[in-house]
Order: sequence, then C-alpha cells, then structure tokens
Amino acid sequence: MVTSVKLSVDSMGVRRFFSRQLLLVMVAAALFAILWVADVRGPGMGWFPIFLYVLFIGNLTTPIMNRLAPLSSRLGFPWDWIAYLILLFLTAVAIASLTVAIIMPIYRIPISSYFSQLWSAGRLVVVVVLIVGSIRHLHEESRVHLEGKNLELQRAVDIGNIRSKQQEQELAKAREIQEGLLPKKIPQVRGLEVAVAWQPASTVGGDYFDVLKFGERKIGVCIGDVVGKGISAALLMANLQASFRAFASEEVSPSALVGKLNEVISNNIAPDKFVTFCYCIIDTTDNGLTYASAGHCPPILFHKSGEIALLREGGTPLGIFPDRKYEDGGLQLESGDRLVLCTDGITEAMNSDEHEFGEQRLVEIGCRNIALSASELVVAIKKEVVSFCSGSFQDDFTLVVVAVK
Amino acid sequence: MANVTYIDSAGLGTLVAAHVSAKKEGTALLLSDLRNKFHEVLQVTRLLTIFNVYPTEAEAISSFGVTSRAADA
Repeated sequence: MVTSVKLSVDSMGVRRFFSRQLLLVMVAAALFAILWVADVRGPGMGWFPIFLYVLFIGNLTTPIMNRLAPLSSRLGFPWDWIAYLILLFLTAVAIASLTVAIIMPIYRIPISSYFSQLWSAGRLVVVVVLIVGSIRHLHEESRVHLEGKNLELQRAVDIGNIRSKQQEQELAKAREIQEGLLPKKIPQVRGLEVAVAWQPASTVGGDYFDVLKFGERKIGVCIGDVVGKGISAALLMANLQASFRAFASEEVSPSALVGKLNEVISNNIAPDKFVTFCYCIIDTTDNGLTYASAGHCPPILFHKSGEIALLREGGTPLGIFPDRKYEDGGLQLESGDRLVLCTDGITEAMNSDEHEFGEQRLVEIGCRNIALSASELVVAIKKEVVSFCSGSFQDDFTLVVVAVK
Repeated sequence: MANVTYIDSAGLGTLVAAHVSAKKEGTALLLSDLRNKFHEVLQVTRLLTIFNVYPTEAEAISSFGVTSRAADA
C-alpha cells in the first residue's frame, strides 16, 4: 500500500517536470511568435535566446517560488496573486541578470552593454512572469486544493481503518464475554449424556443454551433464539442468560420459569423483537421429562423404537405480552432415546437452490443415527447441515443433544 | 400476504410490533391469504395464537368490527 503510494508520487514528480518543460516551450514559442509578429529585433531576441530565457527563468524560479509560494497563499484573492507575481518578478529579474550574463559571451556581446541587454531582456521577463506566473498560480491553487482534499480523504480512510480495527477488537472481546456466558464445561448426570454445538453467524449472536445440574439426578437444559443477529441479538441474549440463571432452580417448573422470563424480557425488549425459548428438566430417577416451549422450533425426541415426539407445549415467544401463561408438557424417556434441541439456524439453513434444510431432514438424520452417542450425533448433524449449504452457512447455529443411556 | 413466499424472524418481529401497537391503539392487525410456509412458521412459533388470521382479505375486512372488539376484550 505504502510502496504503491510512493511510486505514484515519484511518477507524478517526473510527469510534472516534463509537463512543465512542455509548458515553458509553449510559452517560449508564443513569445517568439508575438515578437516576430511585432517585428521586434535585437541581439537577444532570436528564437534561441528566447528559449534559453524562458527555460532558465521558468525552471530556476520554480524551486525558489515553491518555497515562497506558501507565504503569499496565506493572503486572500487577489492579494495572494499580486504578492505571488511580485515575488516571481523579483526572483525572475535576479535570474534574468544571471541568464543575460550567461548568454552575452555566447553572442559575443560586450560587457559594457550588460544593462541595456538586461533592459531588453527585462521586458521579456515581465511577459514571461505574467504568463507563467498566472498559469502556475492557478495550477498551484488547484493543486494545493486537491492535495488538501486528498489528505483529508486519506485521513478519513485512516480513521475509518482504525475505527474498524477497534470495532473488530471490541467484537472479539464481546465474543469472549458471550462465550463466557455459556457453560464452559457441560454438566453431566449419571444416566444421561449432554453434548452441544454453538456458533454465531457473525462474531457474536443471539443464540443461547444452558445446562444446569440440580443435584445428582436432575438436569435442566434450555435453548433460546433472539430475533435477529449480531450485537443487538447478543445483548438480548445476555439479558436472557442472566434472567434464566437468576430464576432457574430445582423447584421452579419449566412453565413457571418461562412465564417469569417472559415477564422480564417483555419489559426489556424493543417492540419488533422477541425470543423463542424452550426449557426442559429431566429427572433421571424416573426418566421423566418436563418442558415448556415459548414458540421455539420444537425439540425432537427420538425414541429408540423409531417413533418421534415433538415438544410443542408451552405458549407464545418471550417478549411480546408480559402476562402470557405457559403450560408444561411431559414425556417419558427411555434408555436409548435421543433428545435434539436446535435453533432455526439449522432447520432454516438454505442451500444454493434456496431450499431449507427443514425439520424433516433433521428427523431423518436422527432416526438413522439413533445409536450414536450425544457428541457423535452433534457432529453428524452439523456435518449434514454444512454439506447441505455447501459450506456457506450464514445463521447462528446451536444444537443440544441429550442421550439417555 | 398472498405474495409473501418467505418470512424470517425479523419479519415476524415487525408483524408482532405492528400487532402490539395496533392493540394499544384500540384496533387490530388482521392477516389474510397466508401461504403454507408462512402459516407453518406462525404455527411453529405459536404466533398463530396471537394474530387474527383469515383465509381471504374480504373475510378479514368484513369481520374487522367484530374482531377488534374481540381483541380488546
């Protein structure tokens, strides 16, 4: 990036030098034409001395004027232009005196006529100064203006880059914090195996799951999906997690917990957002499953016998009406059963033909792989979804599998 | 809604917001002509229980007076 900028500045410098020479040659040609038409003759008025004058004055004054120009450019128009011309004139006269001194021996003009020669050259200098000065001043003004704009743009780009880098860093920190809200080690109880996969669409996401252990025989598993993706969804997910952790206990039934969560979330949520959520408690003493779903895509219970059951009982999503009542559903688990909870990122995963992965595919995978352990089944489902989308998976992705041993 | 072939959760969120604010204003949001997929999404999310859904626009309009009173109650 830096190299290419440097290169372009260098090539611009070379180009500017040649365009200046071209301009000076054109000025000299114009001058010569004017003098020729006006029939002005003299020992220093041939085409060669004129070219020499113009090239000398034009090229030698440029570096000096480049130093002096900022002084005049502080003034407003027309004073900057007048000051520039005066400075240019003084510089040009000094250089013209030098040029005349160089040209005189070439034309074998006696030293005694130096001042008369300078006087006739001086008239040329005035014309050159007026033409070159005006053109250069206009050119310089637009150049300074453009360079200023360029610098401003470069700064804006730099600031944008710094900001986006800062945002990336902040997002990475947010991701760490969000991962910290999820269980680092999945609690396990005897007789069950719980495995999970969680992956946000962007750095952070709106999916939530949690696994809580109540004593040695009871486990609570929840899954939630906040509308939308990214930071806004992640903030709500944090609110959901805090509320769930605050309310969940062995004594609180899933429907009571979901009702309380709904009350809290309804008071903290924008009108166009809601959360789908499902909470299950499994008691391994009798393998009883109690659950309540708040509009979440139904978890699927795969019985070892090949039958399946969908966990639909409960009520509407969280965060719409604070006073909704929820109902508990109950199911009997048996050894060899698999319970699959997921978010719609899985069932609504789309392939390039805009077909959804769908619940049916998930059911088929579950039925086919019922013998797999919970962690193996998680891997198998994830693999199928990713290959269905040809690797371009876009949504938040959460999967919880409970295997009854 | 006959032209709605796909709706995601953000779209549902907008409908929910419209429904809630309509209810606050003492009126109601009625949905009609839902396609299968849309209907299924509302069913899965249990949002079918909060929205007033009608098979056709004409039925929705003709029932409007009755429905909004029912929604208020």
